[in-house]
Amino acid sequence: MQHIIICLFAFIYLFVSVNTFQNRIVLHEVATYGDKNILLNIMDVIPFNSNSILVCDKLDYSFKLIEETGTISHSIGKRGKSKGDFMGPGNIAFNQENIIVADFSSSRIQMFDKKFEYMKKFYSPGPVFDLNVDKNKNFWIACYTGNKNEGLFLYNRSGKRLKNVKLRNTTGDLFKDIFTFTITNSNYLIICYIVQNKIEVLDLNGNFINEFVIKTLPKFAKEKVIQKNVFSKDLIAPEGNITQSIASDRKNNIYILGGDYSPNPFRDIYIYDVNGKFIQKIVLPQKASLININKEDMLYSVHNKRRIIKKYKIDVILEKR
Amino acid sequence: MQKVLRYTIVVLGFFFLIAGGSKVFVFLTFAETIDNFIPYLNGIGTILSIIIISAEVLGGIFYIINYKIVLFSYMFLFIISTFITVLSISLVLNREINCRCFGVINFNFSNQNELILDFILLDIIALIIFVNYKLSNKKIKLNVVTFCLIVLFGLYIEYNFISVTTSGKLFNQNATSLNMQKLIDLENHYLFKNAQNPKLFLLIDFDDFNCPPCFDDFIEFNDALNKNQKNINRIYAFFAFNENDNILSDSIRLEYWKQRNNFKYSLFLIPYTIFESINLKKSSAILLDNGRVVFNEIIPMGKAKHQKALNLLNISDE
Repeated sequence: MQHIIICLFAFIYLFVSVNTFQNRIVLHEVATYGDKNILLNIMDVIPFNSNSILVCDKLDYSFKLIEETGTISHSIGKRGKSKGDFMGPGNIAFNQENIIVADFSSSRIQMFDKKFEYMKKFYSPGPVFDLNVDKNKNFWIACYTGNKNEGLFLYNRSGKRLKNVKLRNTTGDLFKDIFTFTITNSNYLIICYIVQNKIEVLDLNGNFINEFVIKTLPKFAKEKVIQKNVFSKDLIAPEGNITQSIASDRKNNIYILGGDYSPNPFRDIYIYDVNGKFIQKIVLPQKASLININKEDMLYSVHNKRRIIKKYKIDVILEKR
Repeated sequence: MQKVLRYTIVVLGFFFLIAGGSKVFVFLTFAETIDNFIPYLNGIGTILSIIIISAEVLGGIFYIINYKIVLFSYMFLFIISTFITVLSISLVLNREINCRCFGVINFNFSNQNELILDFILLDIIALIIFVNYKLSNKKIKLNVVTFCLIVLFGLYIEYNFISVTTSGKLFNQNATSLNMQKLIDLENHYLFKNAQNPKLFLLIDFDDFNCPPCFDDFIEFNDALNKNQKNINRIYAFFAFNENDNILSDSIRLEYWKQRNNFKYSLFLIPYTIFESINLKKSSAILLDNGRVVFNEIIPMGKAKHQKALNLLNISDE
């Protein structure tokens, strides 16, 4: 009888605990980069190894290796179109063997080895929006081609194009087709459109799995005519971004940085799972331009008009509901 | 008299034929100039440029062969009136435009000189119509005194019109574009005004550099400016910073950027409020000459306007 009563109490205690407390993701600031060194216009941040990051600095025409201490140990590139030079590096990806860097709004992609020696260049079908690496060390390139259902391309580790992945929500429109993407730990491609409220989930073979929206945000960014044309369609541009950046952690949670339409513009991070289930929202202390997460669940965010990088540790705490 | 008139018509015919023909080679640039003037109706420049070029070439030929002089004179009257309107507006707004009125033959006329030339052409064409108009002999029968009075009155109105448009009085009354006083205040504050020399102000909002064409255009313009050591000390770049953004106000960072881009001219940081008070919404290049704005273009502006700015600064891009 005593055992039954103890078990009953234990059950009640567990039941109450589960329903009273919940897991909550919190960010703890660990470090700041760019306050001592000069970073002018950070366009992308990726982990190089557990202690260092690679940063594309567009206005400095270089990409840099920043150590954990904040020291810039390597700065590669100068302004130009020659080998190893940049007109303004935008996106960067590293597959543990080679680094690829795309000039901002350009289709030129340069490849470097992990000692930062220039290797080769190749071209994507259009201006690059984003770069990523999958488990097979292949490169994924997001770019604008002007064609419907096109925009994501798979390249092998030597820069040869393998295939084009069909996307559901690209229309051929310059603005609506801009997206960022992340590859989760369990190999899902998560496509996040910038001016459409649409998150598209694919597998690494490019097969569509599902799509979802961020419920609290509008379907599309407002539009305005920026140029009236007499003989062709008017040029219409979005007024602000719905989302700004995307990243994923070790547990396959997707972190989406909200844009102009968020209650806290460029500070709200919406966390979802790959099935589109909302987990929670966290608010950054200041506006961010992009986010990225490394394998140790460290979140990097770029602030102060792309001049400062903050490093946060992602922690999960038990919190009262 | 008839002979003088005939020779005048033939000379004008060749003038319009050459002006129209030379524009054919820079047809797209001419269309772009019209589009820039009517920014919200992109595409209309192509049609207008075709009409203007065709009218000038055809009218020039018919003037030379002495065919339908009155009809084509009316056509030229219309075209010249349009040019006068465009040039007047640009002068009133203190915006120098590169009209490319003579196509590949670049006389480097200022808008003010072009306006005066157009008025002279307008007068000559009006005279041709007056003399050739068949009714003039039968019905109007103006005597010499009345004719002279009309001419004098016309010239007086033109003189006043040119004076007002070129002096910038209208602009000062209707400050539709830049806030001149704030711009001159900026000049006085940072540069200890040197009224004799034209100065090029580059007013830059870093955020505009997120637009690749804007950034590339600025850097290309900078390269062109750097090549010209002669007047580099009359070029000043002002970078707007937001007081809440302490990083952007860091002059060390700006100095580093200056070195990376090999800028030869002076760079200043100014509060964003100054940028707003001048009525600037986008990064611009402004040329101040003797207290007047002679060039005001939003970046990106293209190579033709880079050259225009350099010419106005009296330096060669070569």
